[in-house]
Amino acid sequence: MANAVLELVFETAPPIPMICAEATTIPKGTALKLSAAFTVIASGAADDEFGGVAAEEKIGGDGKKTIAVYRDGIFKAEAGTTGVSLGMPCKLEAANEFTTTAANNSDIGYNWGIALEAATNGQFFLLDLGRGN
Amino acid sequence: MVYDAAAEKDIRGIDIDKLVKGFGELTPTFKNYCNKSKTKSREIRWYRKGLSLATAMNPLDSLTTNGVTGSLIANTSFKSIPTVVEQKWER
Repeated sequence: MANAVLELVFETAPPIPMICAEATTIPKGTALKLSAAFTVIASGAADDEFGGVAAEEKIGGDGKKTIAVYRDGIFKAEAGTTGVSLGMPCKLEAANEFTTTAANNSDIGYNWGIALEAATNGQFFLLDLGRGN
Repeated sequence: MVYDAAAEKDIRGIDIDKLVKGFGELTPTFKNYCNKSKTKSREIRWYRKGLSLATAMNPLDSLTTNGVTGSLIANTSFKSIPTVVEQKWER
């Protein structure tokens, strides 16, 4: 089963249009990684660079070449196998799954935000997206 | 079950009619309890409200996480923004 997408809890900033592939489907709430200049694709692996969270469902082949992306906000997110710690920076562990960023990795684009609570594998936690990058 | 909220494909751009409806051709056991509507459309799609956010006391309340299980709607403090709550629909 695919990992749960993120769900918006507090909208602290509106989404912005970022470039994406026209032909690719992206579900709402998908964690998006930066793939090229101001361009995002769905995340799929650990350590994907922070791009944002899809604010709308991108329908493949609908002619649109941008997607609305949240780069800020409080989201409900799923913790990966190693979990997240209260108040610590988070990075992707797998598609749409987060874990605590290693101590020496906070300055290389891995951070997606701060965990507002602790969670273990499969549990959901509040993620302060975009802060602390 | 796959439920769609605003900005998702199944219900994007659709004015959802919230009335309960029934076909006249069906066995009319409960027909009198339903709204009936005719259509000349080639295709009809039916949606129903998702129950993923529902509880007995709160038909539609805020999300819960590992550590936050109480309502984020109740007791919202002065000057703070409200939580996001979305009704979801299943096609």
